[in-house]
Amino acid sequence: MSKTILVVDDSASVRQVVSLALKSAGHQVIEAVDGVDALKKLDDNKKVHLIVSDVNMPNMDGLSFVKAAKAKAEYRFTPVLMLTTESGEDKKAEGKAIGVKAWLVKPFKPELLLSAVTKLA
Amino acid sequence: MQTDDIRLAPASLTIFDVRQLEDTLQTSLSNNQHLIIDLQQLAELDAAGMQWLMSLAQRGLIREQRLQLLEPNAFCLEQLSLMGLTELIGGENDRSN
Amino acid sequence: MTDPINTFRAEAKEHLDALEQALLDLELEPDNAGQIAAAFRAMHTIKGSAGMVGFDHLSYFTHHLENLFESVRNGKVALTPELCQWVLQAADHIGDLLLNTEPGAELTLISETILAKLADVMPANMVAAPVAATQKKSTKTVKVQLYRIDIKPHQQSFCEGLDIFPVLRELNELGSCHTTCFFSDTFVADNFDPESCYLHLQVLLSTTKNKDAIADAFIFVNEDWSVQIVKIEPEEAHRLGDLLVAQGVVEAKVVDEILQSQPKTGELLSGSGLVKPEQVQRALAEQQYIRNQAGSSEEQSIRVPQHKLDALMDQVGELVILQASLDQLALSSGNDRLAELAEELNRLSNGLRDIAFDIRMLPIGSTFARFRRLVRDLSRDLGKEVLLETNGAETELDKVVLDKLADPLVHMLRNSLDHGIENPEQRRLAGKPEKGVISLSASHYQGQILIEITDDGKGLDPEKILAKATERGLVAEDAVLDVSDIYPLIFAAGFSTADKVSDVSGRGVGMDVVRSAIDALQGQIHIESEPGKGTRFRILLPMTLSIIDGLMVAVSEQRFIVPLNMVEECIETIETEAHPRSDTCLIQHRGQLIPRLRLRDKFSLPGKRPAIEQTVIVRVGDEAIGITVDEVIGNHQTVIRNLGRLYRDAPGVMGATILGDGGIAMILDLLSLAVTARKRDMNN
Repeated sequence: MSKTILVVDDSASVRQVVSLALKSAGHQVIEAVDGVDALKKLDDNKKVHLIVSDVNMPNMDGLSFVKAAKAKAEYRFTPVLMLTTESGEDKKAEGKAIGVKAWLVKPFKPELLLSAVTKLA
Repeated sequence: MQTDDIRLAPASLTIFDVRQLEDTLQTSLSNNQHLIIDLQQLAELDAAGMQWLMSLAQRGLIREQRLQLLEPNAFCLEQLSLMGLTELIGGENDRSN
Repeated sequence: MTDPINTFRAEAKEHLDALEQALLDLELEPDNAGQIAAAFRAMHTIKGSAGMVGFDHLSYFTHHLENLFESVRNGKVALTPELCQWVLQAADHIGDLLLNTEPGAELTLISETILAKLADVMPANMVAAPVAATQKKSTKTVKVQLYRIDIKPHQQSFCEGLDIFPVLRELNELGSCHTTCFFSDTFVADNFDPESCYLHLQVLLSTTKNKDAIADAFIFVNEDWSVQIVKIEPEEAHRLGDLLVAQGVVEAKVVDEILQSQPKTGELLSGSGLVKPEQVQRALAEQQYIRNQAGSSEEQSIRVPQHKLDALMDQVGELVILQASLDQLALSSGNDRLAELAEELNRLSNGLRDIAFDIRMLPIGSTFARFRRLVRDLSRDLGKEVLLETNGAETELDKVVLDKLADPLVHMLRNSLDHGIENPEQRRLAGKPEKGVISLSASHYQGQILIEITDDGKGLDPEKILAKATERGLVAEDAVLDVSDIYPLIFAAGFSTADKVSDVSGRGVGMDVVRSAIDALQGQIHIESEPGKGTRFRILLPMTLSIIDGLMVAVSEQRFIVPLNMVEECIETIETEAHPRSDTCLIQHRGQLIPRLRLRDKFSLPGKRPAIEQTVIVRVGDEAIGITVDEVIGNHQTVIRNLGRLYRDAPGVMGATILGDGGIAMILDLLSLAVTARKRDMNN
């Protein structure tokens, strides 16, 4: 089933890989370069089914962004998939507090991403 | 008695919608009134929405409000069958007449 | 007007009976084309009509069975006894499916179990999609396994953005799912928060994937949701009678209350759990049905695969061995407490052994039913009038013995029909009623099973048999034989007294096949016959093949087991006889001279004979023989193990058993020993 997915990452290459994988599975992808940009994109699009976001980003980091997004009525229940690195374990506890359940450790294979997405949306 | 049945035709029945739908019904639906939900236009239906439909069927029985789910589209039927709830559809809820 | 559903039910029951009859016959005669066609027809008809009257699931289920019989008919699938067993189970299941147009989770589960089992034997191209998809790598069929997945999402799941559908969709991709969704007991109608999750789901998944693959679908939710994945063994699936209760929908006692009260209460119950009162009622009806089955005065029975019974017997066998060794230890230790415990354990293990035996016992009547048909058909073909009388159908025999007995019995019945009973004309001339009588009876006889096949036909002609045997070189030309020696000649390989080969008993096998089959069962067969009056075959069989009570005896260091049920008594013999070289001679026993055999000589065992020997008097059939040994040790329960190839043909031994101390004891084959003793006796 086609979903609209917001992909937030400051790395253009990660965005590209992730977008490509999601599009190949028939999803629609909106890209954002950081938290600030992502919040703006959320306001521009009334419906996003899933947020895929990096943790470490300039301007506004991933967890702050998710917190802000969940504060918006239209996105209060939107599922979130966080992309993290091996060293981001401490962030997981933080994320848990704001209701982030799904984590994917970079680097990952596209199939793994798609499998994670199907579990959420 | 059954003059003003309430008829809904939502496009989305998800966690984002159930609170408002529930509030609407709580204020406007009285006992002995029947609720008809047209599923033809339904494009989004998640587990929360499904649970709400289930709860309507369930609570409706107690208050003698009849629930009718009409014209489910293909997507809707697929979701119902995934949950094993295809029995929600159809006139089988007509117990109170 | 009658409800078409009722008409269909009645019709389907008839077809089911036909199917069952066909299967029972096919179990004994797997190639019977007529019965295969009958089974196919029965399934085909049920499938067709079921779809017409709204039994969609039943139609789907029988469709697969129809395919199966199609394959059997084409010779693509062999109808093994195991497969027959599963189809019989399928037939019983169809009976259950007839109760409701839409079966509940329980029955659907059983359907899938059976279909998965049948799919295992079907050629790949006949199997439906989920299984066919698994055959890409190897041609070996991948096993379809059933899982019950119990899912209780966290109450906050929806708010956390965790929907249930993605998980369900993923499970559906793993195989075929049957999902049941209901409110858990946290749901209270008057206090419903639409954003909280109150759902409880149960998914029955039949898949070729393993548990890890299933668990993977829950990877993001496993911390918060309660998810249980349970593998269901096919055999177990049939015992899931309390699925409803297991679902937590209702408590057992509530079910009973509800069923006994007004339908209104059923609606109340629906308020506490299920989606719809109809569903509750249906589930309750199903549950009640299952309960009734269990609770009715007629005992409920379950089918158990043969290998499980065999495993049980093996374990019991081991226990019995261990028990025996403990007994020996207790005796030699002189410790009273230990002896007491050993005795108690002895009592328990004997009880367990008896029960294990009993489980394997089946009434012989199940085979009798088939013979009636055989006699009817054959007598018609032969232009004879024959009545088959059966007695003792309730006599129980070990299943293994029973299975192996069917063929010889068929052959003997054929023989009696063909050679024994005369045609009506001859009978009238002989002053007998035109209708001949063959009687088949089973009974207990001296701890064994006695099966008798008696006909009132023309009887055996000793002269004819002897002439034939001489002609075939089975006996020397000048041999002088007693009548009782002549009759058994018909069991010799290649012997046939019929002047021309009829197509009834002359199907390429002779009575020698019967003899070897009975031998294989450690049984004996005797013939009594009176010219003009008829013939009687008496078959004596052990009740079981696995464990026997034995008497342990010893010669030098070697120990032997004498089957206890044949032992009459033990006597002391002092060697004064004048036949020191011969391993047999006659001894005086109760005023009679009986042949005796000295095991030391028979098996060429080393060591010196003690001055006082023990002789065990055993009864083989109707005659007694003595077996002389050094020492009688005592009673010993014995698990019979087949001898290795090396010893298989060793005369006088029918098996071996492992003793408590790790040694081996040979189990004496008294029948063959008796033959030896008799021969030596005659030669002397």
